[in-house]
Amino acid sequence: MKLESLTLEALRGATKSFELKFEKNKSICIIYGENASGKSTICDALDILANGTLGSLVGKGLQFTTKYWHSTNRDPGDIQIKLVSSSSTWTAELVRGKVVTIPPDSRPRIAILRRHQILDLLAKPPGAKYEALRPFIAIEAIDDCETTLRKLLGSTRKDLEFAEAKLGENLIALEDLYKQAGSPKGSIVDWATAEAERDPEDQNQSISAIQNVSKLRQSLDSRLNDLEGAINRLETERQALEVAEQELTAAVDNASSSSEELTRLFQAAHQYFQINSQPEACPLCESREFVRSLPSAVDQKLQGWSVVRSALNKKADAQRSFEMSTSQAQSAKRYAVEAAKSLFKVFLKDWPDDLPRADAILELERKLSNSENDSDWNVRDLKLIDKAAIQVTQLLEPELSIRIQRRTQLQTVKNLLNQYRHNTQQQAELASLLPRLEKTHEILMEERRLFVDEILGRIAQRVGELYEEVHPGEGLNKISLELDPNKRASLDVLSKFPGTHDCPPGAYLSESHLDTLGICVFLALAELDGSGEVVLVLDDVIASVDEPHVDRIIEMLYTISSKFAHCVLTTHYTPWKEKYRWGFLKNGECQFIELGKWSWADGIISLGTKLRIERLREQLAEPLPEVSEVCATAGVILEAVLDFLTLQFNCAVPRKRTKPTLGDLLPPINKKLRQVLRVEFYDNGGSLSHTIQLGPILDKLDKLVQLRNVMGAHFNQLAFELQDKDGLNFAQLVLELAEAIVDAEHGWPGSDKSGEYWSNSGKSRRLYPLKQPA
Amino acid sequence: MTKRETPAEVLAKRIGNRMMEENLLHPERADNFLSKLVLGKLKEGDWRIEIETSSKPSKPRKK
Repeated sequence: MKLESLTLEALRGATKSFELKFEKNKSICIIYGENASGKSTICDALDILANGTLGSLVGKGLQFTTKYWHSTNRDPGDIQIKLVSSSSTWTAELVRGKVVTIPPDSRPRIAILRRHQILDLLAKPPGAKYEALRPFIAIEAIDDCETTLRKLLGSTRKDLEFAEAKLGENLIALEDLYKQAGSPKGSIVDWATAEAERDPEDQNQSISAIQNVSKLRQSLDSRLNDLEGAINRLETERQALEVAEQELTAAVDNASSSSEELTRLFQAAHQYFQINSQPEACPLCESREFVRSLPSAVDQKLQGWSVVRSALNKKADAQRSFEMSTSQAQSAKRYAVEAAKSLFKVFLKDWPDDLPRADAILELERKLSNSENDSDWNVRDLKLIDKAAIQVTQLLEPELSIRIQRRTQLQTVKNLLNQYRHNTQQQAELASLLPRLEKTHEILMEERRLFVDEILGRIAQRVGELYEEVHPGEGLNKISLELDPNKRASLDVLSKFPGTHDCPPGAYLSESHLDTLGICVFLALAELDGSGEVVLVLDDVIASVDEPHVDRIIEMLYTISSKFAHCVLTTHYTPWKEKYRWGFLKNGECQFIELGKWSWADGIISLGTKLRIERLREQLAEPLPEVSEVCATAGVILEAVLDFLTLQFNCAVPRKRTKPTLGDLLPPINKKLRQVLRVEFYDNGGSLSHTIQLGPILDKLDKLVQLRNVMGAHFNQLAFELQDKDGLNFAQLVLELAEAIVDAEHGWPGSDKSGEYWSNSGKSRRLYPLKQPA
Repeated sequence: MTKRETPAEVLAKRIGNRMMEENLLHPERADNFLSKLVLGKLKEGDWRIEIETSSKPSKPRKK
């Protein structure tokens, strides 16, 4: 995967839309810019896409940084980031304070190291160091599983303790019951097992029979009470009937001479005397005798007949009540007989063998078993049965208590035995499981430690190798990363110094060395993935590295860049820019972007950075070149080329007092050397395309070199006398010489590894000879 | 092209092999166990089942 473009909209310094185009086939992109030119904004954009965070604001005491993500002239919702690569396109937006990326389930893999993070891996406490390392080791999932295993281990231990405690309690409870039972022969558990096997139905039958007798007796009691009540009521009603009959007889006797017709007659007379209350004579016989008492005599006669009617009614009522009481008494007797019959049946037929039989039952059997028909039973018989039942109930009362207690005891033993068996099984299972869990946990911890140690060992070795590349022979190639065996997730970075072992690097290293070490640790970690899919981003991390080591760090970065999908390096380190412009970097592998001065109105500005030689070519290609400027550019380039050649061939140049001039540099390339000095050009397939002899160019330059001083170095009135074409001719010769030696893609031919010639990094040029001819 | 194993997969495999050597993981259940281990999805109950079933004989395969 290679990056193709990154577009920023409204993010931090990108007040205007900014697009960074990555050149194809260049795996390293160096972004150069002064402070506050937008370098970190570019890294922030990649950070948001990959990690959903804006790392440049982390650790600055800001609690919620998202409100500071947008450009100050835009809204948070305007933020748009788009990264296009050869394999995918990712976008990110800020929606209600949260980063939303598309596609949602896939993010680019980007490892970002910023300046302020360099020392995190070295100077922070061991726990924090391990946290910084954790994402690179990437075994959190297994850590999570280890945590659940540890929880299970803890809960199993507790369960086992609990099961053992319960088992002890069960045994104590069984032992109590065993002792209550008189400590019979055999063990407690054998006894309990035998007890638990007893059929509780035996007890249940007796208990049920006793309870049934009690219930039936209560029923018989009740029925007998009813019967007695009914008999008493019948007697009362019988007496009431006799009284009513006597009263009726007396009333009838009083009114015996009367008849019904007479009654009607007297009623008519009564009505007549109501109207004629003082008759003068009897209306029937017209006699005047007794006429005054006649109305009262009629009333007396009528009253005598009313008593008879009343007595008749009373007698009829008494008769009905008597008949009803008779019926009730019969029913009460029938119910009482039925209740007695049930009891009698229990006593004589259903009596459990294990219950004692009362004497009263035997007597009862003797007296009543001969009755052909139980309906013959009279109240006395019924009372006999009731009496027997009372005796039996009293006799069985303690039996019932004993049997209920026995049944409860059996049930308790059974329950305890079941619990004992369950807890025994539980205890056995847990006792078997626990050592296996412990062994599993031990394996997990061992393998994890071994695995992490292996990774740490590899990282440490790689850190040492990388550090050795930058600081060769400084004796710090023995780095160790060690987990604290007594603490989880605690890491120490240790190093060996002459005369010391295992001491923290911070104790003896300078800040610059620590920075280098921090970068090496980060690079070693980032390399771990090894898939070639990770984009490496180093945000201004070499600022504090001292000058002699920068080249080596740059070289190291070139070397390891092949292990990453793409490397993006930002820097404000000026020599890096100049090295690029002079072609001293491996320009063929490297894209160099220079950021201009940031402004609120224009945002981040990307400038093209041109090679010096390219600039000279452009100056010469202008329709009306400014000769003094062209000569100045050509003079600087010629100095660089001659400096290179005289150093390669050990030419005698006076370098000690001041920087050599063109006059110092050109003559030492003598005639013999010029005769054999040539450059061969090779194409991508390794075939020789053409050769340029450098001697003739240098010879021509001998004649024109003074033009540089006259036309392109100082204000000199002599220049007024010279023709422009001579100056341009000088510049053209310098361009020919420089283009012959320096390949814009592959730099200068500085390698003598072939043993025959000098070659550049891409092997596109060969500079002959290897040494100055004798 | 074979898929490159993640660190978690490498470690999980080592743990699985050790557990099988110690009869703490039944070979027939290893794949399922390892996939859960790699994803961090082994709960307490899962661990218990794996360890308890590790010592039981394998089921006869259906023909």
